[in-house]
Amino acid sequence: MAEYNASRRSFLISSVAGSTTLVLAQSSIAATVVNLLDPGSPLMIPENFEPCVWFTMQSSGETNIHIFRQELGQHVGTAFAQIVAEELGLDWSKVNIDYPEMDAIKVTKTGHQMTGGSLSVLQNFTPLSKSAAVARGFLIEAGAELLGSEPSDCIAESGYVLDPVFEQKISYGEILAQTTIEYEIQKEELEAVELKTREEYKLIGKSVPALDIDEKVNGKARYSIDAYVPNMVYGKVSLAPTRLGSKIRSIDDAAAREEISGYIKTLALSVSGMPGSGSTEVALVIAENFPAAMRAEQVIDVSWEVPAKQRVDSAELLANARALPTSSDGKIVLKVGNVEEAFAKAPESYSAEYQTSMIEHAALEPRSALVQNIDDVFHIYSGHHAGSFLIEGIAGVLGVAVDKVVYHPHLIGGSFGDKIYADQVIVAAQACQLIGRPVKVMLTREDQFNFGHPKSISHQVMTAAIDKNDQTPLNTRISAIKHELVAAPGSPGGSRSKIYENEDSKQALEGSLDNARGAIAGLDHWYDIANIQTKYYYHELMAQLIPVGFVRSVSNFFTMFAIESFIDEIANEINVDPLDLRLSLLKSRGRNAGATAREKDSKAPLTGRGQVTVGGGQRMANVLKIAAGQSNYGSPLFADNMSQGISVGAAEGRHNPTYSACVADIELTPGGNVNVKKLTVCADVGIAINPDGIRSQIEGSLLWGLSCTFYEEATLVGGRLGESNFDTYKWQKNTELPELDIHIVENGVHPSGSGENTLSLVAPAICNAIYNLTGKRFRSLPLKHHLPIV
Amino acid sequence: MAKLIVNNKSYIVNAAPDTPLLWVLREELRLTGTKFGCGGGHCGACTVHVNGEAVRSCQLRVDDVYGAFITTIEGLSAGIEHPVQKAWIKHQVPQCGYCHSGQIMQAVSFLRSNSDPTDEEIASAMRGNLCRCMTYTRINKAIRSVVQDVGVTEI
Repeated sequence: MAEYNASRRSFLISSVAGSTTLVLAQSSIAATVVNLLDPGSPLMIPENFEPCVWFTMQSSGETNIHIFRQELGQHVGTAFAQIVAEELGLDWSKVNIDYPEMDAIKVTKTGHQMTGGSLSVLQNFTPLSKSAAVARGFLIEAGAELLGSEPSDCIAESGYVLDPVFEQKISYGEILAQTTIEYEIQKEELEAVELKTREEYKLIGKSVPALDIDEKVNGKARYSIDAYVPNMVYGKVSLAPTRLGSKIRSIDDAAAREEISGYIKTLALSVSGMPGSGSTEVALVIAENFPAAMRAEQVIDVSWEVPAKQRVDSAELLANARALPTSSDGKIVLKVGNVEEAFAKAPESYSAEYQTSMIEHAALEPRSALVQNIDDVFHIYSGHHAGSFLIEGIAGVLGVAVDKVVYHPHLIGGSFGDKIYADQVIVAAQACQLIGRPVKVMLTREDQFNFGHPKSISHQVMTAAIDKNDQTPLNTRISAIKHELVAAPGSPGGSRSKIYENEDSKQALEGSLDNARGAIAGLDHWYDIANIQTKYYYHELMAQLIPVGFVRSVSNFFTMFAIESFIDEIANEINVDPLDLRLSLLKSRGRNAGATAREKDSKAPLTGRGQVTVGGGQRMANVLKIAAGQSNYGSPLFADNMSQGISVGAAEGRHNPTYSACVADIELTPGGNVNVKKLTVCADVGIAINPDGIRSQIEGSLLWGLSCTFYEEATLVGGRLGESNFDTYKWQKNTELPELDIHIVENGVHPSGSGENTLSLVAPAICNAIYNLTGKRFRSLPLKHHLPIV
Repeated sequence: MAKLIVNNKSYIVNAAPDTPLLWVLREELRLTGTKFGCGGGHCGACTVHVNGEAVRSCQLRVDDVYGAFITTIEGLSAGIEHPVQKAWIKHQVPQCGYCHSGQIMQAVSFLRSNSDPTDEEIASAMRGNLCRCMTYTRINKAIRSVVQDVGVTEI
């Protein structure tokens, strides 16, 4: 292969078959090129252009974008493809997506890829854009060479390199058919490359149809549960009487061996060793087909040793949570100023308590996993949020090296956090190792409920130092807020606590906080209040009983419910409009200013994910004003049985704030029930990659929020969930849906998340509306316990 | 051994007579477009047509449908040509997509029986088909657009 010594770069371009008329030297590979149509010739496969791990370009002109985030309904592949296609200058009709396997080598190129927290686009926007922009430079250079043009005269657009001066062009397909570009993008090039500005975008911001819809309407999409390999057997779990802590004493499978055709054996397995999995034992019933495994599970007799301390019901759990703030010392999460001094000086104080229940993921596809051993490598066919962590975890469980485990991603039929957990993979992998055949474990719906990771219950106490004197400036009438939260985390990892000297401080003294991950998001709100003290009480009993998990919007669901209800309660207490009160507190002071917009003396704003907070509280105020305006907030035209309530927030937290506001229009029926007529939402997503895709995510989030507000509650009965299927665990059906009026705002700096960020606004907006209409304040969810209002 | 007619093809199946049709379709015939969601008839993910009627395949014993005409999502069209599938694409309905085989089979059966449905009738027909991504507003828009755009004679 001849090296092409371009003056401007040193990457390798060599010509292949058919490029004889070009200035490039005939390469050595061309000499061996053979006629592909001649069966007597040795086969030569054209080289692809693969400058990085994120995409591959073929000589056909097609580009495959490789998606290392898990598809679970958010169409992440389409968003990533738009980002790459934008900077690479692709013809959108020639863009494909695929989901490559993850192994020990791949992870060294991709880094850990964890799908969660609505972070995929926020985290990958810059790396994907930069890689594509550098690659575009290569294509322009090669294309210019083939055209006989100056690269500096050429541009790339819609799959072509164009020379506008000489009015000639060459397609990417033609370039790659005539040359081989062998080059791996270097770090320095990524740092140096300039990205397009927002004004130049052609694909970003366009609601192109998602690339994965067709296969989702004709049954061809391949989900985890559809995984199949020859000779596989099926595993059905037999679960303990308590979710955690029980141990298997003995297994009697005589009846299964006698009666069930296809029954193989039952294994006693231990599930632990993966983050958040908790520690539990399960019996895994193995059979030649799944119906046989289900039948066998009915007739085997597993004897369990159940520790009495695990036999706890909801009432005891909640009582335990309520007692924690008085019986123990919490950990500081956020401190601003000095609350004790403020309370001592304040004319009055106001306090309220809030509770929320456990909430199930209830994804329609139950978790499943197929594990196969080929030549001592364990292949996992499943859908999981984080393949790179999964292979490490499973390697640990099996006692093999990480390079002996490969993850083959399958689509996920709904997750909402469910498939972050790997219990089903752990048991399938262990079973595969023990019996030497491929094992597919599928959870039934009943298993899913009692082998799952619901959202923690929460208990919160909020106390404010307030001033009812209307001569006091509005923004100082809340001089302090104390906030205490009791909850359990989604995984044991650490979080950060922050202490600010006062409300104008930008820099915090940071500390570490154990056992708080996924439990404290949303506590660090954007209101300019002079004195704040927020404490977290780790709910140990909750964690001991149920391995609670990350469920869509995580703790924002309950922290925002408390904060946004409480602000309305205070507004009522001091007799001001809740919108006015909020706007007076959203003035971007101190830490609430967000990132600095630009360097001194620079015109161009700073970019990148660190800039996702730029604008801070002001953006909160803006979305609140828009939602209020769009919803005719305060209009005298509403009927007597109708009312509105507002909420504002920036889930998922300061690392990924999608500044959003919601106005709920509700109606009280003659029977005292609440109809939600309309939810008006404004969300500032920074940059909207695919506005219709974002809308779709927000629609789903809002109805999820509605469902959690009214219906959803998992109870604890004797140390396991009291619900086991959708006849007892109720959630939103396709009926009595509110109108969803969604407005998207962009500041053009950096995209933030949209998968779950607006969900948490719904409950407080509705509860505030109910109060405004009826004078009844509901401080616990779900609302089904409070309705009808009599 | 008995004969099952699925998507106009005959299969000899070997399942125990009380095996739910769902598992025979998925595991024995490998027609995996029909999904398992709850096993109790609560979610509609496993909806197929038996003699033209939308039914929950998790609730049917396989020996009850031997000889009947069974249609699954794979048999609805050769690709994505059915008007309801087209409407689902036009309105970008699916998110995760898992429930939509069942949603589409339910909608097709419903529209064949009701040529001019009201919003309430749509809601009533579709309320048993759960969607955890909560794509309900798009499902309803798509169903309405089928009625308006193509008329029900083509369904």
